Amino acid sequence: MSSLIESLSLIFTIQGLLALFLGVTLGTFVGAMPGLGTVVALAMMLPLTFAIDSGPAIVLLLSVYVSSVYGGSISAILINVPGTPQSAATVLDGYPMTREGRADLALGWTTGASVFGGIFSVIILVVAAPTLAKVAVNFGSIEILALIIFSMTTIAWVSKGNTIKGLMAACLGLFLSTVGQDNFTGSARFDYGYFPLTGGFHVIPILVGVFALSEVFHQAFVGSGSRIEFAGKVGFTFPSLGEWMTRKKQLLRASVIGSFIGVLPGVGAVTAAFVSYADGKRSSPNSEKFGTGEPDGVIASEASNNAVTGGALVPTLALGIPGDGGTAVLIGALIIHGVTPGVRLYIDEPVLVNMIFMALLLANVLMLFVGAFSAQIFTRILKMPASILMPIVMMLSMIGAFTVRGSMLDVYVAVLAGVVGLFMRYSGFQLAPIVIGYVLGQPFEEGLRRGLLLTGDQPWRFFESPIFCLFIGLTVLVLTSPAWTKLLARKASQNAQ
Amino acid sequence: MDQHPKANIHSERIAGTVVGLVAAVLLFTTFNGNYFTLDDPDEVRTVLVPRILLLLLILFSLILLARNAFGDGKATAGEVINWTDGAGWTRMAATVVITAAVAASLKFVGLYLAMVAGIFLIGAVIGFRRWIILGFVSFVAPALAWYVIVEIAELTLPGGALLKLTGLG
Repeated sequence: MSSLIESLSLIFTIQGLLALFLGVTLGTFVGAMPGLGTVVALAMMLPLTFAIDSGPAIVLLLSVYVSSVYGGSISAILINVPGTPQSAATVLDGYPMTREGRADLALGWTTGASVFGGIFSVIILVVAAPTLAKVAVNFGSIEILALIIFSMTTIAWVSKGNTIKGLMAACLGLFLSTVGQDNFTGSARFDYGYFPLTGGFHVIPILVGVFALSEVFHQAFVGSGSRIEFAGKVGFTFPSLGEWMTRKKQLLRASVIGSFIGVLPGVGAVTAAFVSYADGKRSSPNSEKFGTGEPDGVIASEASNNAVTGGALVPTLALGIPGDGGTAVLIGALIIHGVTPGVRLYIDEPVLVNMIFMALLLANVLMLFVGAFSAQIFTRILKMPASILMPIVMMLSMIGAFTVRGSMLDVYVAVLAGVVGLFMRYSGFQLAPIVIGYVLGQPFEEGLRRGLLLTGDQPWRFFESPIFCLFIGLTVLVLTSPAWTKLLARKASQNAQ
Repeated sequence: MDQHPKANIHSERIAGTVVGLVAAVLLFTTFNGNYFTLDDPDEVRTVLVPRILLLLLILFSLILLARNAFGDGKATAGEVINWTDGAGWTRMAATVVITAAVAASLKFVGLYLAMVAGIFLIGAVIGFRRWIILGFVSFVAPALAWYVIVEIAELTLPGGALLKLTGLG
């Protein structure tokens, strides 16, 4: 109880409340701008957090994280373009509502569903993460190594496109983390006599390059000089409690799906939104109206994608394993602010953990008010053409890359990462595995090398650990899944015949 | 906007070749003697994980190239763009060059001047034609960013020539 009060006292300061308000407003704004998304929003806000205390800084970043997912739905509803990929399913019913002149109601449904999904997932986080952390106390280097291998394989496996490209991107991220000084021996690796490289690459320049600058280059290719036209007048109408009660089952189902999918590494909010949408289409009493402006469709997509935020933080906080690009940035940001996510976090920093829970809850509640009061403002902001927005993104990206360490190398790395990221996008590679691989690179190497030291350079002895066997077994299962799912399908069709 | 399958196949081939070759070169450099001393096994361990990862990258590149050459001819989807849009490629190349030039000049001319030029040029290249607004944004946005980062957040940004001229740098 005392740690709860202490954590509340960290948030209820002028700096803390300002961080909360600023985080939710800016997160919603950046999330609403098509092409930017959660990862870019976090990367852009990170430099701002260097000048404030770590408590408000973490509150700011968490607020940006949850609200940017919600922000994506605003442009999905108003202009038929999801601001973030997570809101792609919201377009299906949100935009038809706008075309029917019900944009105000669509914004009301999406805001309410996002807030409910977000709060539901925070409750899951509060219950599940400490339990997972207690189990994870038994994890040594070898077990963590197996867990990382399993996570990376899952992330690569669910990559849109194909597994090989996902694995390549993950390996590239892991490799980038090995550049610079070796933590065990102090030797410089891959520096080729260039002194600034001995410090290695920092995650932020890679991130802003791969995500933000590659988007600037892509938008230059598309050439977006025109203004966006709206289908109708925009306001905000929150549905009545009675209306919510008739759709409570849908709301709950979507929140459960989102929270569950969020916990799985790499699956993410996009999948959650579409799985939930498909489930809603099957289970809703209004299923035949899906795709024509049905509020149940908006609820299914939005409650689930926001529920992913809390779910994804379960492995992030309890194990230090990021579930997606957003949580990968959060881990990097937390480490910069002196907080190392993982098993020890719950034991060593109970006040901070409670503060994280409370900040998430408050950010979700604040989303309701920001959504309600800013519909008109967002309508005007969304009219800003990409040709004026993208140069500003370029500037913020470079400032973000430079301010991390005050090094020009980071600016050059960001530009290079932007070109590489663009090429990878056009070649069908997913970008998130690079960043997740980079964040997991150090614990991966530590796990492997400590494991080898413990077993006297006999890696086969890793299999003496049941947890290692379990995760490697699961990894093999995931990698061979195309083969055995085909086999099962063939057997099922043979039985049917 | 159409997706041009052949262009995608080519980009996949180029990606596989480039990643594979770069990984091979980097792997080769780990055997150049820098990391190898007979009496100190730790020095070998220093490149153990990079070597494993580079070998995996080479292996995956080969699989990608083999699948591309002997597969069903369909590359997996990348970003959906019109590959034959020459003007688009020109705009993109110009934006990359301007961004690189801004990055290279930051140290010498300072963040403010570099960004004024960068924002104006990229905005114009992408297609913004309201010059007064573009000029206004080019001057105001970096000034605002400078104020927030340097004055409020008290962080350092490259001042360059402008600050030296004004005696503030």
